[in-house]
Amino acid sequence: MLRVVLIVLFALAMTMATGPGVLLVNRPATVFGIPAVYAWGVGWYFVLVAIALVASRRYWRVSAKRLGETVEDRERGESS
Amino acid sequence: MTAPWVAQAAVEAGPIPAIVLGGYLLMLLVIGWLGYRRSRAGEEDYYLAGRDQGWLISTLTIIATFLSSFALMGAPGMVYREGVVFALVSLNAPVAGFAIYLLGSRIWRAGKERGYLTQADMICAHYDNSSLLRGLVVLVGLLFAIPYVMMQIQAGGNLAAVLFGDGDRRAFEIGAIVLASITAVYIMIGGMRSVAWTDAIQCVLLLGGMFLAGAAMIAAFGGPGRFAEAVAALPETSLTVPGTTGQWRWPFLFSVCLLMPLGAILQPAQWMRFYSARNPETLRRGAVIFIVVVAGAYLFGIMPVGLGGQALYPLQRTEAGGVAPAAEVGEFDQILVVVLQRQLPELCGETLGVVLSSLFVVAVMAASMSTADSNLHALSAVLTRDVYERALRPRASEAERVWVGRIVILLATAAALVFVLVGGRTESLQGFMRMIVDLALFAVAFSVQLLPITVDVLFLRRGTTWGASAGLLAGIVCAFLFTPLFGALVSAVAPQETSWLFALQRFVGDCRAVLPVHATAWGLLANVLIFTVVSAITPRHTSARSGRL
Repeated sequence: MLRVVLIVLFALAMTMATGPGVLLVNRPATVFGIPAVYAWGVGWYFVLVAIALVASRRYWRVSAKRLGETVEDRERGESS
Repeated sequence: MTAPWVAQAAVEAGPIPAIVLGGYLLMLLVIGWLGYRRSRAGEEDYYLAGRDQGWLISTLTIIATFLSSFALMGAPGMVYREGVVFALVSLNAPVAGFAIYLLGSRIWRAGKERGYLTQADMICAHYDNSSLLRGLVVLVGLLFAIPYVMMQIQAGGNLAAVLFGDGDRRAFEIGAIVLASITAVYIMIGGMRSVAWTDAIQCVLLLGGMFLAGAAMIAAFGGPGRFAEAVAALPETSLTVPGTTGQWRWPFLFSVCLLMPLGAILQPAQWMRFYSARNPETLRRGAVIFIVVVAGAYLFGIMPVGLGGQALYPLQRTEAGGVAPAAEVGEFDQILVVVLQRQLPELCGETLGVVLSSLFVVAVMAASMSTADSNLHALSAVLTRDVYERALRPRASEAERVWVGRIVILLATAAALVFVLVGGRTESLQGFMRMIVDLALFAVAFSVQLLPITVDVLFLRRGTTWGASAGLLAGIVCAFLFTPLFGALVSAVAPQETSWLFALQRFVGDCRAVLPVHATAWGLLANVLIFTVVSAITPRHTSARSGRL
């Protein structure tokens, strides 16, 4: 379930930050002194970083270990 | 009227920039020699550093290969021209980071299990060793690597033009030749180990340069408050989508942000970095660091330089209705170097300012050279392994192939250098080659065409050899038609409105008007369509039937 949430969130972040979503803030205004379009991009950057951290801890760590072990086992089998 | 914070003229730099640059270039040659001393005989060591690169060196070399002169000269140059819209392109970095783990770990596994060295090794092993497909994969490698190396050489020239020649052509050409020569020499000496070691140092330098450039720009205005004030006063087109020239409408921006990073990750040099990693954990750590650091360096470091640059040196309107850089800047891509060279001595005093601006120059050189060396090194592997060994001399010894690889590096460097020098003097190509970002986008338009095949080989395994070849060919041709180079060539070769090339160009223009996405997306669309249709009507190849990777 979390995997699906992360994928959907990633698609949403890219669509909002660099796709049609950017039109929602497309004004020459500023937010805390930063141009609104720029601040919008910075906000979605933090969302993407959060997705990467969760995916890395919850899924990639396990799959990297499994992938490495599979190759090692195969190499050991071939050498013996 | 000039703003009060604009330094009026460049300070006389004296010999300091030449000394700092000379020291840096000498250090690279020493590392090349050290890499040579640590190397063992054989292709696997020369091209993949024995498939044993740890997470730190792997991460740094992946980042350094990704961040080229695009990051330090191209991106601020494009923000200077277009405004805040191009800052959003920073978000292409997380896409690349995700691809590093999701594609890279599987590519690593295939390489480790079967001893692959190049992209074509893996792809063609899956598709029945098709010679046609191998040729097309090699062509994609060439179409990516040559413009990318050209882009780095051009940055070296731009740098020299600002530093030593007050923007003149002769200084540009000498700078381009020096950068190309030194890069070629240390790769030829030490192979992958030298490339990775120099990349690691260059990565630290260029990331430091990106963050410091942003800080220096804000300091030049007297603090964040005054910087924000100056930026808020920029014209409305500089603060909104689609930017100053109107080129960056959201479909274009979206296609670039999604596909450019995938093209950059599927380039031959990065592919070989996945093979050379010690294990998938190396790539997992690398991916996370990449996402946090690279996008952060863009957003908080280098992009504000372009915005501040617009406030310092306002854009000029041309008679044709376009925009031009301020006279003091010369070219859009030179904004960072001009700003630092003029502002730092004002901020920090003459000597310290010149030393710091020279260090920034070294950071730009590092960005350019770390990408040029990786691409030249990968190109050498591709041409030696996939062309020389397969088609010309199948019985060549490993030692012979390594030497051929070195000669390839020399020839490829010379070719890229000639293109830069001749292209800069050819009027019809000047527009196409003017901006570093345009050259980068041209290169990734081809490398991204490997995406459907890569996904099929690693995950789906439904395509056929004919489908893969036809799709890739269609993708390359279609992407080329939508690049600015096609338009430039048509106007040079067939300027008459009656020619079929002219009609084709007009058709491409009509398509672009309907769907204003980048050439990468047009190529990919044709590629996926043809790949799917041809795979559905042609027989599956033997390796796919057996489920082999």
